[in-house]
Amino acid sequence: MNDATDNKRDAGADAAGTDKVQLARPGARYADEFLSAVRRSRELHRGLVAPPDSPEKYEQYIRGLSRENREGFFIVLSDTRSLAGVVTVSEIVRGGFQSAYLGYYAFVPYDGLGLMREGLGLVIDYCFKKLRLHRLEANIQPGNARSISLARGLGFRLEGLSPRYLKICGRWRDHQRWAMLAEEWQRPRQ
Amino acid sequence: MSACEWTRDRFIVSCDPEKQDRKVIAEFLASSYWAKGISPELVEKSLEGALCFSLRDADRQVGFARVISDRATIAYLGDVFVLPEYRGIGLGKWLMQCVMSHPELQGLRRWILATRDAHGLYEKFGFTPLKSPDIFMERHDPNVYADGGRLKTNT
Repeated sequence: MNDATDNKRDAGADAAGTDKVQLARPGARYADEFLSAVRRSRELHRGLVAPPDSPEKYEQYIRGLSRENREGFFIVLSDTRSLAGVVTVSEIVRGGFQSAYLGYYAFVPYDGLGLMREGLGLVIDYCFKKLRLHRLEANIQPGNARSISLARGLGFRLEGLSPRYLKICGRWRDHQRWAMLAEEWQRPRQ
Repeated sequence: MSACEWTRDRFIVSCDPEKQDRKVIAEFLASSYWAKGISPELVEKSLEGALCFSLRDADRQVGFARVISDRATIAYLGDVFVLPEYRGIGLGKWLMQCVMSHPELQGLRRWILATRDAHGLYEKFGFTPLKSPDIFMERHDPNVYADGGRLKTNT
């Protein structure tokens, strides 16, 4: 292994999977599929998340994932390996905190089928068991009912509201703070 | 009689002739390995004489199957497809469940189909290789669509 990225790739995430989905490491080989998935999901993502939408931004996203405090995962279909969703674990803080932010979004037409729930389950498992984190936090806009139900279903707790918390698509938007501790995590039965 | 319809998540399988998207079906079939080059007119005619199953994501057709049958003793299943980006999420299997559960296609003595690569899917529904290939015959013209598959008229 030549560099930190390769070591990360070796961390075991590629092997994790269920009948329906598996985790894959984001990389240059997904660039075309990723950008076309972003294009066809524009309606679904509007106002909620702004994924990389050009080759340059995608490359920047991939480069950002090689940072020590960040990990990225693609949720791919077990059967066809099609790209179904993205999960990013960012601002990993060690020491006495052992916490990180969890960001995620699905791509059309794989939204609403329970695939994110399975994929996120794999990532959360990885965060608590392999990365040995103690806490994960997901920030969700109050109107994003589907994301809230996903987080709640996985066992996240509502901690509170952060007004004008994140600037998305040019506007500061309120977010609910959902969190889960390692000792609260129960991997859903597939 | 109202057309059969099944739903799963936001997906729908409908036998309503009005819900068969001619453009999607014709485009897919014209580039398929089994009907390469078939013309839209011929596809249109092939739908008229068949029981068609449209697989839909809300209002967009994303898959298809059709059955040619006397609805009493025998059925031929053909032109089954799911668009590439909709594969891998169980829709082909579900489409087949809908086809096989259609009330007018029950108790048939024999179902027939031809496939190059989807044997595994059809095996789940009881299809097997021909048990007695020696009793079956066919007349096959694989190049019939080569001239654009136009409807033949007798002159």
